[in-house]
Amino acid sequence: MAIWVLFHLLLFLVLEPTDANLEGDALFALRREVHDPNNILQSWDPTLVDPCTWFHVTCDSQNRVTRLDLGNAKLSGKLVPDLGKLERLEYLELYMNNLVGPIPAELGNLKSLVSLDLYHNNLTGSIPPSLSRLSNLRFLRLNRNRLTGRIPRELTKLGNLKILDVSNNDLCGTIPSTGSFSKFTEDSFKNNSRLEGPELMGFVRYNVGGCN
Amino acid sequence: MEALRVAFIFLLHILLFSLFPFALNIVSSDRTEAEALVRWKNTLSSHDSLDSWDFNNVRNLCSWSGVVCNIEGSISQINLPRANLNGTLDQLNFSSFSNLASLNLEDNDFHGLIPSTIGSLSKLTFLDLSYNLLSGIIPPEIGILSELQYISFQGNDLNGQVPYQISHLQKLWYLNFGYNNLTSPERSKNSLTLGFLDFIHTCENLTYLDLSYNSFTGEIPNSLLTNLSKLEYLILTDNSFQGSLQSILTKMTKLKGIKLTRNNFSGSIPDTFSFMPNLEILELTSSQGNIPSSLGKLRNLQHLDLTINSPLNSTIPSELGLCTNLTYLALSGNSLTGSLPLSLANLTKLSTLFITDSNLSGHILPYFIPNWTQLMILWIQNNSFIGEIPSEIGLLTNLTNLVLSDNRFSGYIPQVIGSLQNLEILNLSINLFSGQIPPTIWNLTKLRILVTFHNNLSGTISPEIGDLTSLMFLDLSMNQLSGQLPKTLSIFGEGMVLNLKKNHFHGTIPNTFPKECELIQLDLSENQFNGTLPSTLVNCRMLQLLDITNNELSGPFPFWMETFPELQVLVLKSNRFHGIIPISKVKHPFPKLQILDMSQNEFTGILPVEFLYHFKAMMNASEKGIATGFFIIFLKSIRVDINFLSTILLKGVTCELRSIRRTTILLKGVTCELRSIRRAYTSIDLSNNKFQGNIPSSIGKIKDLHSLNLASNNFTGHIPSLENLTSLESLDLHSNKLVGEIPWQLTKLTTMSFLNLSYNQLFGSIPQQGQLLTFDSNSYIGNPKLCGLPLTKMCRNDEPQPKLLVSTTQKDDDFNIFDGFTWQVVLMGYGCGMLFGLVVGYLIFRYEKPEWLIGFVYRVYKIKDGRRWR
Repeated sequence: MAIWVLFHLLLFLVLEPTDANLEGDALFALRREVHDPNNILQSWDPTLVDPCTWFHVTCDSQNRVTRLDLGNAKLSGKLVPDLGKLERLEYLELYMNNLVGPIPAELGNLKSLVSLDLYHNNLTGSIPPSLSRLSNLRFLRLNRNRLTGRIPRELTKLGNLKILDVSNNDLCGTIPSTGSFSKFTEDSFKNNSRLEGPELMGFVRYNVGGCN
Repeated sequence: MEALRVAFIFLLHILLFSLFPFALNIVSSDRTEAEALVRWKNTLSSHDSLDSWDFNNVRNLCSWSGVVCNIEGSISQINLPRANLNGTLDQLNFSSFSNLASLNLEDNDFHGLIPSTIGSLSKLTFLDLSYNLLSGIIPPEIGILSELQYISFQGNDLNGQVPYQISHLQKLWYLNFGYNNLTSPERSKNSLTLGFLDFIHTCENLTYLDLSYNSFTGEIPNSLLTNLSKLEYLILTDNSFQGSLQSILTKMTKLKGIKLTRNNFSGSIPDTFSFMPNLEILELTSSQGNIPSSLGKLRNLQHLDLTINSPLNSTIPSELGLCTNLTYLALSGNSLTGSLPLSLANLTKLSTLFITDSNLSGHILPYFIPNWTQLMILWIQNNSFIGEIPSEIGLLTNLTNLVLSDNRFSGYIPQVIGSLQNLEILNLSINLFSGQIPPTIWNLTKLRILVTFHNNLSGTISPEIGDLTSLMFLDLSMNQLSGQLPKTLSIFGEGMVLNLKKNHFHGTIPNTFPKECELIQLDLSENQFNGTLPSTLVNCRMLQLLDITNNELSGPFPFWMETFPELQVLVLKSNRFHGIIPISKVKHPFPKLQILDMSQNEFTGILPVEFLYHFKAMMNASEKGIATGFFIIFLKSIRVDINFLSTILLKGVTCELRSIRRTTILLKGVTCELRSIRRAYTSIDLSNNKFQGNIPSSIGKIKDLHSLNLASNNFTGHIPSLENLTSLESLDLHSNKLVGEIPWQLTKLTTMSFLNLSYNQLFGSIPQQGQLLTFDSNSYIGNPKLCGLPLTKMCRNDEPQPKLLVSTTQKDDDFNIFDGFTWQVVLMGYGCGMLFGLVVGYLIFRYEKPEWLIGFVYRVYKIKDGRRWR
């Protein structure tokens, strides 16, 4: 029975590919998850063929979402993994809200992302190592949250990263210092009381140091 | 004897006294009834149809308009349907009409409540208050009217729950509460049947029950399905009823009519119609299954509406051709494949055929058409039909609606189309038709809507188009039409929409807009019109949209439109308009303007401060955007066909209405698609002109502006304060001569997703804060004195720093982490680090004892908790 249903579902997907509003659905999942007291997501109508006419959403010429501008929007609630489906997203601006919960690891799928601004929220959990897959990322600002755990060493692979700010969190362990991280100063990491300081390659291993 | 005489007189007196009131009663009953009617009439604001209702005419009470008396001369009926009455029922003294059996006020403009005193009409059998504006609840006193057989409150604004007292009406056979806002009773804890008005099952004589278009919920209880054994019509369309279709249809086999569409019923349509031989009307929706072939057994079926919207492919069962009494067949919105079964040619009584929005293919065979001569409405849009329109179409002389849009029809539009003299709506859009518009079309004088957009039609528009005096919607856009516009074109009826966009028309726009011009939308964009805007366009004061993009029109700014009360969209883009914007003579110019595009013209001079400041609509953009109001009216008048409308303006871009997700439209009909064009979008585009002087600071007060483009002009001075433009999504000021610093307030515009300040003479450092952190260098290049990220030019210390005033929402220095941090410092750091590394490497190589060094290093790096590194 389940297989039958699945078969129908697949058939449906195969038959109706052009009608899909996958990106709109992904954004609408966010709308459903967050509390929006000022009703700024009012224009987000999932019945449209794409989300390009929604306010706070910007698309490219192929009607794919490139920007999501929801800074200082008084949103509260959790981020949704669905956001990871926005393949062409370049700017994810959700700073200065009251978002809680973890940063979904799926954001690592946003392969076009240039700017990830989640600063000034109440996000918890650790920084997902999957963000290291964001090879175009230039701005990563996660400051002023309640993030815990280590700074994933994988992030040093982000060759285009120009600005990193993870200050004012509750991160621990040592600070990776190679790769793109070599250019960041202490300011990027300040006010994390459990953060140990930069690792020293060859002397102290990255995972040395208490992070319990 | 004396005693006897006294007794006799006494008895006589008693007799007289007992008779007297009786005699008086007849007179006074006339009087009170007449008095009650006249008194009520005088409270009505419109009552022209009640001229006979007059005290001087009291003798003829029984012949007053709408009044019928019984043998005793007392009023038994008040029949005033469609009498153009306006007022309330409050002042109608119901208790005066003790013999009233029938009250019919259908289709007037009565508003207010249904008075509870209606309960005093104890002899009432017939009550029709349908199609008024009555609101509030249904008074429970209705339940006292135990003689009632017929109630209709259809088409009012009644809300709340249906009073259970209705269940006392044992003689009721007709109950119609359709088209109101009624709800189901609250879920009662001790009842298993939740929601539905299960008390209705005691009205055992009920044969007609209509609760459609309300907000009822819950399952249809079994008691209702079994007790109402006389029920013939069950109309529940558009509520939120639940339960399985199977259980309803298998239990109610006596029904003649059933309408269940747009509810939350589950399951597929059961193939059990062989057990419902009486069925004449059937409307069902289901999200699964096929069209059952047993429908072919319904030989009495006249009206069939199945909107299955099945995700599975199915075909139209050929058995449907056996339902030869069908006059109405609607199968729209299904994923039907294949071609029309040949058996449908047997449906010779068919007058309405809707098979839209499906995947049907094949030709419209000449084989069907001679049998379908009764056809009045043929809608087959949004399928994959191919081929030419057969010339047999000329036989369908009863056709009023012919909608073939969004298929793959090709070839010429046949000449014989001119013989469809009753045609009111002709929609051939989004096909592959070529050749000329046949001149016979101009004979169709009843035509209201003529839509051929998105084809390959060529040739010119004949002056005979002026004969189409009923035309209110003409969309010939996106074709290859050419030539000059005939002078007769602008003479049209009310609420006219004229769209000739994307053709090859040339010459001047005829200056023949009549005095009482009722044009609502005029889109002549992307043609080669020249000359000036015709002066008679000033007559078209009801214009909502004027788009003349990409023509060769010239002349001054049409300031005379500033008093047009409804103008929402004015697009003059890419023409040769020139001159200055004059100072307005009225207090609120362009009161409803939301989109102003004057870009790519030759306008000059200074922008008058008032010009922008008084745009009332932009100051407080309503939810209603362009066209909304219009489209609602329009769609109502022609029902559902979305393909009539070529384009709508939404978020500043013209987007085709078709791009709205198809499946949902099918599910929800018009409402959802209207919802999606509701948002207002406001935009000012003055780019690519020769404006000069300062940007008026008044622009910062247009607080609902979404897009501002002043690029490529000669604006000078500073960027004005724009911090109140909290809806701004796009700001383009590039290629002007603006000076000064970038105002830090721009950092607060969190909805801004596009910013271009490039190629000006701005200076100072770019504020490193808020939304300004989200733009790349393209937003700022070409300002040689500008510095700071994302530009590569770093700010020197003597560079003027922007005043990083901290807004109330942020308390610390998060936004300027790079203050005092320059790339030179980084480089110095690298240099030192390298030297340090070499030294350390040498020492390690030399002494192989690095612990002391580690400690040293950590001290250098100011480790906060050094204890771990003893």
